[in-house]
Amino acid sequence: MFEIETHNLVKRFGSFTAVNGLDLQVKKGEIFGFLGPNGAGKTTTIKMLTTLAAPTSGTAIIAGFDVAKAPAKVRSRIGVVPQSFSLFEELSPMENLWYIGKLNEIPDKEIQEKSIELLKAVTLYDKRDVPSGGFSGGMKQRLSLAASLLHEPDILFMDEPTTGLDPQSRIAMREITRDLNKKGVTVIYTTHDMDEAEKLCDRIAIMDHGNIIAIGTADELKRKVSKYEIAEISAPDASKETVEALKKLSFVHSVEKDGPRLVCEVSDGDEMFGKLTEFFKKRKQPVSEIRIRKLSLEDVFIKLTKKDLRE
Amino acid sequence: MSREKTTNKRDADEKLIDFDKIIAIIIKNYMVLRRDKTRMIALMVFPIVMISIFGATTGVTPKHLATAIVDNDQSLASSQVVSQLQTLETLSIKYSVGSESEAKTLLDEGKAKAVVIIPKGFEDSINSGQQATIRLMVDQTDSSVAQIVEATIRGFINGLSRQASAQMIMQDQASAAIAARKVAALEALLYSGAQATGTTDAFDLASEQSTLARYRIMQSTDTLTKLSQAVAANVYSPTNADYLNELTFAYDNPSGKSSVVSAINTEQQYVAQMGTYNGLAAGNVAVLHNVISAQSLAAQAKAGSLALSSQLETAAPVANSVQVTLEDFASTDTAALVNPIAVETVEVYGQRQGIDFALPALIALIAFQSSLMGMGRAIAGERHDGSLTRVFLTPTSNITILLGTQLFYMIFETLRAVAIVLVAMLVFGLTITGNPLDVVIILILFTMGATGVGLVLSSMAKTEEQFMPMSMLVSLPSMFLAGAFFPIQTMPAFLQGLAKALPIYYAGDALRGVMVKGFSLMQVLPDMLFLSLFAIAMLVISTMVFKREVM
Repeated sequence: MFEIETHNLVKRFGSFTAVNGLDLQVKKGEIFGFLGPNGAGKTTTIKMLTTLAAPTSGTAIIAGFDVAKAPAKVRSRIGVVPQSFSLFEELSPMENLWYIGKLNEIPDKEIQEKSIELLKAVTLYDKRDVPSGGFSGGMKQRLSLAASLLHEPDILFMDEPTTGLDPQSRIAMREITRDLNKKGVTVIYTTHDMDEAEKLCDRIAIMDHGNIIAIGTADELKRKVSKYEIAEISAPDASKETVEALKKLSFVHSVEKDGPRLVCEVSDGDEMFGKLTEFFKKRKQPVSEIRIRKLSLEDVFIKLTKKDLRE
Repeated sequence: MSREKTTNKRDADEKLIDFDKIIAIIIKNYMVLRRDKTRMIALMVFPIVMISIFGATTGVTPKHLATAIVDNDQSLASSQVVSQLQTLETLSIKYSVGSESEAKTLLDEGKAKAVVIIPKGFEDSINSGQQATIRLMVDQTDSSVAQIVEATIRGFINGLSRQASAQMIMQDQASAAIAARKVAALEALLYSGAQATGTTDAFDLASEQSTLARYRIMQSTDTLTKLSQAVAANVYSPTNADYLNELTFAYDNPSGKSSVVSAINTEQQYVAQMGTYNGLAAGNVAVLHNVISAQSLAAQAKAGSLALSSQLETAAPVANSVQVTLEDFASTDTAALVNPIAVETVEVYGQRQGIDFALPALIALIAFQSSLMGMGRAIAGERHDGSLTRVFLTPTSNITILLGTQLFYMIFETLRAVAIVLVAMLVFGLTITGNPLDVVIILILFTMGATGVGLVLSSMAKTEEQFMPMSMLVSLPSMFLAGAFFPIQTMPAFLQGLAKALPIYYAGDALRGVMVKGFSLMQVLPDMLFLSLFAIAMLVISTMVFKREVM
């Protein structure tokens, strides 16, 4: 039994197909990551799974309920941390939670108790009666998370919860997410941050053009894409001929130009460092840095989507 | 954590209308608005500014408009006209110049809005019974002022002209009255003459002649009575001439005259005989004195009748010229003559200023616009800032969301509308003749429909920015169709239809009914019914256009 299961899920806006026949299974207790360039269909998928957009066709079963047939039952089992703040800046954390609690039909006394418990957990207890308009991005996001947990959801959807946050807030957000997951909450997490996805998620789905193009653990995805290591060469003045010659070297598998850097897949990193230095020296091309590293999720992503995600 | 409890609760079906949540939405909106002081103040100040400006510019007629006078007649009549013009509140006689061209310059320079020219020969025309003309120049470039000035002066001149004609009629009446009095005097004389001859009867000295004379006098008296009645009744007809002839006949006829004389002679003889026979010298002298006086009276009567005939001759053309009004001469009072067709305004709704009638429509218009504008934040604003997304994620039905939102704004807008009414009462002295509570009930129903329009537009718009031009599309035309600035009755038929499809029309009508006419709610029931139906229709439409989706 899966916590989330979709079958041939489609969402069209006029002639534009945002999600194109998505099949997905997420197990209970997983932290599941969605990666993908903008416009890949991540947000639309999340909206359909959270009953905020009706599927054009196909089915999505969340915690045993069809989003199209029993949206209210789905809603009572899921928590959503939207991209934007989506609470009232004029209201304090306690007042915001009271309102969300009332709409979730939680008794007043329970709202009070739960709010204090949650605000302590997201370290906002001291600010519980201050209007939230003046909060920092991280504080707002933590309040948003607290509001999403008030009705004790089984599944938590987090749509880019760390975008625009400072590193400390990101780390805090991730820690809270892990804690929740340990308590048995299934987490669906979308992010632009590859590093974050790799560190946090049990499984990752890479989406592009409205469908999943790869799914699995971070290691599975990397293995799927390439068995080579990566050499990053900072050579801003490298000529076309140099790039072509580089490609013809026996140990070089591929070359991609990424701004001032050349990103190469190489078969044996340790030995290749000297060989590459020599290659550039011979061609009289100045090189400021050569770094050999293991394949990252970002490499996988770029390889799969042929797009640079950093924006 | 108490998972068991919540698990049971969350499997309950979503309620279509959940009153607990409606109240929560109202409280939330109240808390949000209370904290947003800037918006709160702007929202409260807006209608107060609107009613103050609109109220001050509506239904107020200009006063003391600069006027120049050109008096070319320099007569008593012309100076009377000028002094009477000065009593008019609309005008203020600022200049008195010698020529039309000077006056024209004043008009050109905008120093005077109107010029009144009294031409030479004005008084002479009035006295000779010809039509006298006063000329008027107004600054037509300022059309609204021009209309008022022209209407004021025209009205004034009409009044003057009516007064003059009334004076002429009064003169006619006076001459007719004199004629009537003379006839009456004549009649009295003839009566005493008859009584004088009647005393001889007591002495049993009646003769054929005296009887005849008495009969003739009686007949003359009768004729004169008829004539005087005719004059008194002021019915002049050819028959009057016949009476006149008869009367003249009675005294001019030689035989009539001689019979009177011979009758008197006979009486004298009898009196003499009686004095001789009865020695009643004193009575004889007295009777004789009576007869002599009757004789002289008869002579006077004759002279009187002659005078009467000439009076009547004068009275005849006079009577002819005022024939139409003659019927009322004897019975009507002079007020009727001064102002033959007076219009008395019956103030059915008490002492009221013009603005009192404009205010209800104004209040309805401002309340409508306020309600509409305020709704931008409600759905569209919350959809845009994402807070509606959060609500969508709870098991709360669309109707509950819409009802809660609308109820809050309905309460708020009713308070705002009451504030408008209070300002109107304080600043413009508006009084509510009916029950003030009825006014509040009308406002509640009305703001329900008005916020309903806002709710529909707000549900259709994706953002508050989109809502603004959409609301303009409704609010601007409604300004002109509200009937506050332009009367609906004079609009083209299709605009009238449109105006009558708007709730402002009915709210204005109901408010006018209760505030000014002192109606009860039962008397404005059709308005109330329309407002209710409109409000329900708006709520139904808003549930139809409200999309539970996030863009």
